[in-house]
Amino acid sequence: MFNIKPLSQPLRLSLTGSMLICGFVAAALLLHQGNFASATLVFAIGLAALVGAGKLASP
Amino acid sequence: MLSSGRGYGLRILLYIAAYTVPAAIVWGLFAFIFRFLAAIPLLLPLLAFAYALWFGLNELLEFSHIRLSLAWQVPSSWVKHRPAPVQTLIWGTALGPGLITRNPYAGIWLLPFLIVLGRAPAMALIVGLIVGAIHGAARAIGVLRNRSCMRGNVDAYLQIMARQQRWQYLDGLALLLAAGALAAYTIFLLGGHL
Repeated sequence: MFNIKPLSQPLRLSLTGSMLICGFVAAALLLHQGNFASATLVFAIGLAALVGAGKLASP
Repeated sequence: MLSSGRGYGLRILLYIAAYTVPAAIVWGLFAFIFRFLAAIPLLLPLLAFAYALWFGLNELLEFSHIRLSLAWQVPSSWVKHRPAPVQTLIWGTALGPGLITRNPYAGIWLLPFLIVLGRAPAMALIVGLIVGAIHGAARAIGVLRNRSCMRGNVDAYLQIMARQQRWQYLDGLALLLAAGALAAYTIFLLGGHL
């Protein structure tokens, strides 16, 4: 029940490539539209929420 | 500590505030200090790209166990025999900013880059305050959620550990997305046509 099924290596590799390409293409589009700074703000907020909420409870 | 009853909602809000306010202040200061690096052309995008790529690959493909994280924890003597509000304030100040305690997610150290990247100093300060507040609030909500999971559930710790592994994948994906975007941004700064 608590085992997280590890992702297979081919899936991880394809996810790696997809994420890099998606990031590159999205940034190119955003830079063309002049919205790159706003997008990095939204991304930073999402990342801050992810790394904050995901930590184990200490207190 | 936060038993339900009268004033429970207010106590929850104060608990979240104890994490949020110190986190916003610390990250605001961080943005203020980090902005000096932004004056050096290409330094931040290149560093951020290398960091996001290395640790994104590391978290998704698990090829090494290097973590940029301190193992420090709040000493029990700091909180023992203190009133609950003081304990909450100590926990909030130490854990809310998320910089000095153990952190399993490499994404946290990409945030200083993202805060100042391509922004004026005043804007970077505002973004630092926002990002800090979001991190602190998310941290407090995560702690409260984990506590409620642990209540009366002997397997809760295992469930939390399993959840952490899932989130590590997500963090790796986010880092790789950022690496792709930072590669495009660096090429753009170098005058390349995208």
